[in-house]
Amino acid sequence: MELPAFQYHRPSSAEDAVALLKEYGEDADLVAGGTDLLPNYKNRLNNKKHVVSLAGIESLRELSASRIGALTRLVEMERSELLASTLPILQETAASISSPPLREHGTVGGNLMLDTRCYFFNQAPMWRRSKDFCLKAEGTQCLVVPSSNDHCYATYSGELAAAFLVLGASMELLGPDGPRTTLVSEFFEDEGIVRFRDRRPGEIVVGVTIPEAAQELSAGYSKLRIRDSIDFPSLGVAVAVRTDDDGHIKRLHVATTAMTSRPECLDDEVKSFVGQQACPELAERIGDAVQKASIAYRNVPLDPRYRRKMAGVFTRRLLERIEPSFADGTS
Amino acid sequence: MATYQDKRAFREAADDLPPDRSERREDDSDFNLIGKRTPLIDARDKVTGQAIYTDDIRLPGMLVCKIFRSPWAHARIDSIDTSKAEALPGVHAVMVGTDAPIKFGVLPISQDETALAVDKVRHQGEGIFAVAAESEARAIEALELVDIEITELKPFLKRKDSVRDLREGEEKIHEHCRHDNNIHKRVEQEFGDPQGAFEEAAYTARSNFEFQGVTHAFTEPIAAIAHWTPDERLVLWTSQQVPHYTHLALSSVLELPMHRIRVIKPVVGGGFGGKSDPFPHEMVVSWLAMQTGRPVKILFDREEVFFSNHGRHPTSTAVGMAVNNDGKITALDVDALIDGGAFGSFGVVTAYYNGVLSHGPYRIPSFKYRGTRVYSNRPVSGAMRGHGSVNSRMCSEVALDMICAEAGWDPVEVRLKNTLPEFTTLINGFRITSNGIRECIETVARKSNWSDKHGKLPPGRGIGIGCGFYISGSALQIHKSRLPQSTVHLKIDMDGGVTIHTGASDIGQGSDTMAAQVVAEVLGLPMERMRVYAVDTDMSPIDLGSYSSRVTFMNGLAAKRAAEQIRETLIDAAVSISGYAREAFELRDSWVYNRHWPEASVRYMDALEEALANRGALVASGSYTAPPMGLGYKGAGAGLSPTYSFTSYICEVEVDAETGFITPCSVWAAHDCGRVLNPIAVEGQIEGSIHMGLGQVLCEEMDYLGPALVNGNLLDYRVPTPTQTPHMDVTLVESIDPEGPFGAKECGEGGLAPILPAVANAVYDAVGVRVNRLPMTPDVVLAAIERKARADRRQKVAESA
Repeated sequence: MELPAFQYHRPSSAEDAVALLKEYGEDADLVAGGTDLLPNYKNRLNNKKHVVSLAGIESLRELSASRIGALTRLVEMERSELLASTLPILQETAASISSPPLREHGTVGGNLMLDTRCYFFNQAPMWRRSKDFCLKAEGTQCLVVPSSNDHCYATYSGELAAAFLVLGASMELLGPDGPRTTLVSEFFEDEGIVRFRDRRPGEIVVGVTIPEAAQELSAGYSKLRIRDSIDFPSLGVAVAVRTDDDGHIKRLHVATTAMTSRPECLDDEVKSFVGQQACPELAERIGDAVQKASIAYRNVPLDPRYRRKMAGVFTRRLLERIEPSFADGTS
Repeated sequence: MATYQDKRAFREAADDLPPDRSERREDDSDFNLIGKRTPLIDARDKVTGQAIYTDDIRLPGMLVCKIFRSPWAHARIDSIDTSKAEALPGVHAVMVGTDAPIKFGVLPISQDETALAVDKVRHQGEGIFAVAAESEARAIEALELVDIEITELKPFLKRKDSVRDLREGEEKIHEHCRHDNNIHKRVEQEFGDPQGAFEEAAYTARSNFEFQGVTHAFTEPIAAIAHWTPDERLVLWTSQQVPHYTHLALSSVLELPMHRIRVIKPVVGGGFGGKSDPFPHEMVVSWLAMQTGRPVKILFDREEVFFSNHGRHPTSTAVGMAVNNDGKITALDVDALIDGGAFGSFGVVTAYYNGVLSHGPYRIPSFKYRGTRVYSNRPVSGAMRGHGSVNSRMCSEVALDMICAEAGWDPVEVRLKNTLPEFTTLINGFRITSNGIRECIETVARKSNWSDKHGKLPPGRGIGIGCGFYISGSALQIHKSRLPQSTVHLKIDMDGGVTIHTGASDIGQGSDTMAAQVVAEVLGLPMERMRVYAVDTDMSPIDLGSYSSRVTFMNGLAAKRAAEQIRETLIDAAVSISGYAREAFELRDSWVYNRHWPEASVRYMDALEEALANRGALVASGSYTAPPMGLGYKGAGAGLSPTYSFTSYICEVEVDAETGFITPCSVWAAHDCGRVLNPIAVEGQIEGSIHMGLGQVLCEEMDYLGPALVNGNLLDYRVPTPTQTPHMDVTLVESIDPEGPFGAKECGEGGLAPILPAVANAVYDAVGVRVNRLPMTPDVVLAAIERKARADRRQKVAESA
């Protein structure tokens, strides 16, 4: 099937992109690698009259240990020796996304801003018509939680966000009023249509800033999916931990993705473990806490209860992998 | 004109002597090309992007066809108003069901499909009306302008609802169902004394299995182009495995005599049974082309391919097996409830195959089968690689494993005790000829170090075995006819190239290469002299199509027989040139070679020149018709084949008991395909079959939410990726079939089924659970592991109390 018709814009600076967004407002979408947007356009999912491409904005391609430009391709993160030595979790997360051909095109900004997904949404028009359409596209009722006519439960499937959350990273935004930053943990909203709590009209994501202290963390990312490639996550778990010389936890960060409509920061749910001695039993308890704190809906592959259970298992296994004292009780 | 002696002198001067063959073996295995690794003749075209698939074809003035597909699963069509769509500029024709209401179907006994829905729709995705317009965008726009009024009917989505009598307010899916229900076909068969066998058995196993539907997921989406030529003939280019059946159906539906229809099969990007029916869209584009006088193309979206389906039937199967104290199977009892979806397709055959293809590869002295294929309001199920055999095979192989576990027997040894011998007749009348099953089992057991592993691997790691057999071409014709089942024409003119006209559909499996290889072998010529012109019904003789694993056997024999006629002609020419007796002549290395007096050998081109003199191009026609076989009872013809392939697989898996993930680590495969004509092609088929079967075990399913297919795309319909592909060790066992071309049998389908039980039995060996619901997604496996843990705990408590 051909793409629907739209006006294509290719600004060469971030400022021009912001100006175009300001001009067309709700009638415009941003595109970078196109791996998320274009399949949705083919399915006639909320396609807009204007598409503003960021591909020509060279200034967004920066990659360092403290800053990653929005237009950095996933494959560049995957192959970055700098990241491998400073923030291996980012390399690991990028390498797990989709499949090699798509990582050639997909970008950091695109993965962060990935539209939410749902069995009832990511379908062809005829299929959606058979269900009288859903809240997120043309309809008035959520089909995942049928009692809901004002809340969309579509699932956020971006993976880098979980990794950025446990590193304490911030989004760099550029809008009509100039640049600003906001914490990744403040940026997203748990609602499948609204998606963002802290994105102002006309703003684009230009990059992500990572605090230097993040490099002191041991961190890892793990992904649940039926196939080892291509599939979106049915769950993603990122964990970062720092222990002191005696093996006591000094910092502990856990984030999940592909469970609700936003990447979930679970730091509050695990903060009671900070100060405790890292050991196998504690890893088990942290995993249990994450499982208890997790919610999931039946709108992406694999049973929600199973996915919650795996949130606990994956957390425990990640802890065992990134911090040996969780695995064998010795530090 | 130069004399023969002159030419010999010239050749000797050029040091151009016949090859020295004094060292060669005298037996029939001294082949030139047979058994050699031969690249497929279209491989270069494909990998360089030069191959012309249906969608690559552009004709002047071509229109685009789009079909409006039903969002309703079961509904009566009250009215359709197409006037607004017809008035849209750029729209050339709009078609509705009543424009071509004649029913068709691949089997003469199940003619229940129409080009577009007439009166009612029977599944979500069925075509209701179609548009031919100047662009895709315009066609889509036009579809939105058609007004349609329908009355929704209660859909039948569960197999048990289709079996029972109708209730108040329900309407049958098809009027023609004999009773007041939605049963399409019932098969009941009994041989021997199953009841007695179960009563007397030392061990019995009974189990129920649930199989979700799976589909072919071929690469090339379905496509067709129809053209109504100025001289009023219909030409259809179509991505098809059975162009001949399309030819027949077009003639019937469009009420055109067959000679005014020409069907051409361009390069096809995979089929696996998903392109082996005459299709509604073929009727639609043909009607639209006739109506508009313009070529009309349709290319399915991937979602439409899923609606077209014809994949493996979702099935609930109950199996029972009885075994005596010696480990010999005494009875098999299979009960299959098969979901056919909205139409018949090959379903009557499926209803038989679920039973009859359980008769091997072991001796089954008593056998009972009940098969029921029902209609439902889902996309139609049909033939898919391993048609009808796969699900039942899983059941009986797991049942045998259950008995071995209970009795403490080795599953390999028990299988070896039960294998059929060569040249035997089965209780249902199947005629078994060549049979390499013992060698298959012994090979994989040895290569996998089975005896060191089974029951002895650490927890979470396991090994399992599965065996199978499959038809090598259905002996029974779908349409009763006195025509051969396959015919091949050859033509050789003074250029020395060999033109092979075949009706066999190369769908990627390599049948064109097979035909070329067979002809080249017989004529002693290199492959580069072969050129295959396949499936253009104006030019190719009929072959019934690429289904039932029939092509290598039947088309191969037809090609061989045609080439043998030409061989005799060329030998005649060599005799007349050389004056030597014909007995010692043979064709090899581009010579008509004289075994006893090499100096009397004649060069191929010289023999050809002699043969062509005063006659012109050499032509020959070879054909194959299966010999009569089988018993006389009703349904005895189902599953009859001139020969059968045999297979044994062993799979080693790792199961993560905490997440339920199954990782297939290694597969040791042995397949008896008779003579291996081309190892590259056979290995590819076996590896592909394993991969496809792993999909059905591990991750593929047609996932429905009520009537709606949730995962009609290649992201959510999860075909295994290379990262899930295990190490595969393929051994080809050559039983040398007495009737096959050079002794060859099938290799395209039989290699699928055994991987399912091999994995299932390995999972049991690894974690002690039987997962009888496919696919074994990790959540399902974990639930089974947890159930077992709970049961074990309960038992421990009971024991300690």
